Amino acid sequence: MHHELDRATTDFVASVSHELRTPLTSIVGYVEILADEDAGPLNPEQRRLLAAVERNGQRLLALIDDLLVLSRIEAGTLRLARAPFDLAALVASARQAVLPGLAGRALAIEVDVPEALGPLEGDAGQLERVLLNLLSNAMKFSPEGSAITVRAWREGGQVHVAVADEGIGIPFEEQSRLFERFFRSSLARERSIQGTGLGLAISKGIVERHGGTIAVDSKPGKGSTFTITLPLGAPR
Amino acid sequence: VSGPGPVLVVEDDGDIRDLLLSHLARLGYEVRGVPTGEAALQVAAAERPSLVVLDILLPGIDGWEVARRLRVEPGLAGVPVVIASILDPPPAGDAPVEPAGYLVKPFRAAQLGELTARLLGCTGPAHPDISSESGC
Repeated sequence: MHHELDRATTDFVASVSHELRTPLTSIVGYVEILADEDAGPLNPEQRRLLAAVERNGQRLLALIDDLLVLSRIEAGTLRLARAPFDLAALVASARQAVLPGLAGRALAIEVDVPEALGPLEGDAGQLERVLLNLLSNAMKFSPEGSAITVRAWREGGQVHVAVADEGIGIPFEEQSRLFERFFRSSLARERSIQGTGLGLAISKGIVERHGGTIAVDSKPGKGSTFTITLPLGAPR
Repeated sequence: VSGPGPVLVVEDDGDIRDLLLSHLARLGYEVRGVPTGEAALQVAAAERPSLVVLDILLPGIDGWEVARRLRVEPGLAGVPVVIASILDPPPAGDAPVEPAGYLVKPFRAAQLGELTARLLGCTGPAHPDISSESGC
């Protein structure tokens, strides 16, 4: 009974997410035409207002994409590629992708990932999504002048990847709920830091589909470390 | 490469159809828009489009069925079809008909421009800004 209800909810979320793409196509499409000044020149004020519409259209789009991925994870229908991948290259690519978000900020991302930690197999695109989630969270919650570090090491038959920040941290009593969908830390809400509460739920789903685990270690005021553990060799 | 006819846009949502037609017209292509798959097949037979931009979820026959019927129609079999849908593309090999291109809505003007440039080359008095973006 419970499972059927969950399943119905997941199908509903997937359908709604798809349907939201139709009106959003016209919204972001016509805003693009206006912003490109294809419908006439804009003054600076109009440009600023349109940029806000465009930014929030992209936010809505990202939310829809996250809802779709999460509904697939929960329905067990997320298709994963299965191919050997290079962890160092994956981390480098994720770091490159978040660099624009560092513009104008006194924040460093340090990477210590040895080459050739061992054979890893899985869906590089989805695992990069996990790293992007962890990095963008770290950036959101980090103060100026601090550093984010990404480290990877091998231990037994497993590879560990840790993303650590020196940010605001997560209250201890909230840490066990952190990977639930839509859960957001009270510190994030108090500070009006943007987020949907979906990134970590998605990350956990993707890592677990690879036969791995994700864990958090955090002290309020000191920072947070998220550690992914992946089995060496082929995923289950 | 393809027929001299217009780019045919098959889209039941009027605002999205106008958006596609406006992008394509600014790229310099002659355009034609219809709201259903049935109308698309009629117009295609009469006007020999150079490219079909096709929604999947349509009233009446769906986009995949339109693509399949075009594929078996003498004289239209070679017309490239670009799917533009709110649905994510099916995995390789699972599509009922392999399209020449696939756009997930919402798409950017530049994505459409890249596809048309690749499939049609640059024809007509193209808009200078967009044509340079799409590599024409």
